[in-house]
Amino acid sequence: MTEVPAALAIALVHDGLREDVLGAVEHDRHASSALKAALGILRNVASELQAGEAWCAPVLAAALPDALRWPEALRAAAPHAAAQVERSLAQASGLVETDPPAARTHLLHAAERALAEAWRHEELRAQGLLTEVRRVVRADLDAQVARMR
Amino acid sequence: MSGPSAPQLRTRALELGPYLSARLGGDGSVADARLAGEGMSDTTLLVDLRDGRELVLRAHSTTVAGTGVESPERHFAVLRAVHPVAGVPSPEPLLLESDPAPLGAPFMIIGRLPGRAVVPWSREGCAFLRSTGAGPAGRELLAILASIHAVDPAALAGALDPPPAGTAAAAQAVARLRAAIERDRDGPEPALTDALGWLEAHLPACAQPALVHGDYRAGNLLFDGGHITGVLDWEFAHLGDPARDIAWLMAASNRVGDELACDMVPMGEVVERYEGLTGRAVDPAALTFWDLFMLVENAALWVRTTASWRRGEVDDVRIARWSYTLPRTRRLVLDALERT
Repeated sequence: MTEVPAALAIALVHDGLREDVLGAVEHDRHASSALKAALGILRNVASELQAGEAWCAPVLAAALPDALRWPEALRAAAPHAAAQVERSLAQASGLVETDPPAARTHLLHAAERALAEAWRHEELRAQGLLTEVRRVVRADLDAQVARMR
Repeated sequence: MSGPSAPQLRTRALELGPYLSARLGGDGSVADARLAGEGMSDTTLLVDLRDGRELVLRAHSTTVAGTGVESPERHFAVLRAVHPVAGVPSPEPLLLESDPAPLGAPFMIIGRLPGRAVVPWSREGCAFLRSTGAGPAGRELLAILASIHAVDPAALAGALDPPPAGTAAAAQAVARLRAAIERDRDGPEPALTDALGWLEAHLPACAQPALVHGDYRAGNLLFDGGHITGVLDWEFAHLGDPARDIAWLMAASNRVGDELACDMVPMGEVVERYEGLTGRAVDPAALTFWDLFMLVENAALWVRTTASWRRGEVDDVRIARWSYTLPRTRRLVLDALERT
């Protein structure tokens, strides 16, 4: 398979996606919903190409220092979960530079486990763990929403 | 795959004359069939017969199988029970066909109600709802819901499962939601996991279960002459906590601004008016619970359909498009969590 450089791919999608045409189709009540959907997908593909694979790197860089405190917060109430979260965060830290999407997945696994434990242990909620983890989850979702159309 | 396309269904519907004559009696020859809507659970056609009868044909899609959208059989049974109820303008159920042979997909035929549907999130639809809601339709929005909730559950015995008592109904609903998300997810779901934890910790007790429409909002109503003339889309109906319908009526996703529920009735008046009509007290905690529940359920539906698309189980390109809205849906869940 021929690899298309990102810049060319972006140019191709933009060439096929003139904003005035897309807008007209989206507001045309006679256009099929499948056609509108296909154009919407292309529009998102363009956004994804533009953002690149490293779109989540700034979020990771900002989130990881805070996230590294989660294992300690979990340790007393849920030692097994603390160890798992610690492993996920270590994997995330190790991949930030080389594979940001994979690092992000490990970070979100850690966040999910920490949130699940917070709902099992009232003392973790009392310590504010929910708020801390939600801050990271929100930053990630905000970044995702920003690149979608 | 998802079955025949809308144009294919229309072509087949035009040839249903002999079948409709045999099943409905009279001259079932089809004069016209036109597409009215392509939903996730149904494709809807308006069918005019040569003898003047005006029908609605809903062809069932397999796209959403397993997502909680109820079966056509159950939907039809609910319509049978609610159609005769005074104060609830619902379509007359005429025919249910589970054999895909006649049309290419299972379908039901229902009577056509007067009035027109609106797209609430369009500029025109929102303006229409705001002006119509200030008149009789605004009062009817809650009066009809009160009538739905007053339907005798015994009339639905056999069609719908009896609701468990106390918090068990909510607990069952959350357990089903958790199982669906666990089954369909494609990766970590921290926002949904957080929400499920909150829901499990805040189960409301339902003192008086009722018939719940399950998707009662302006987009599922028909309007004519300033009045509500029809309540459509009963596929999510069940016996359960009526607070669920009120929460959905008031949900942020069903209004453009903050002032009007469904862009029709002042938010601050909904509960008071409903309590006045029904004599039932509405627990604000139950509204918070069901508001979040419906958001998570909506997210679970997209998780499910996105997974189906990626596995090649469905060929509806709209699902691929809507999968891009999942981050936004997850963020709505987080917004709601942070409001609790």
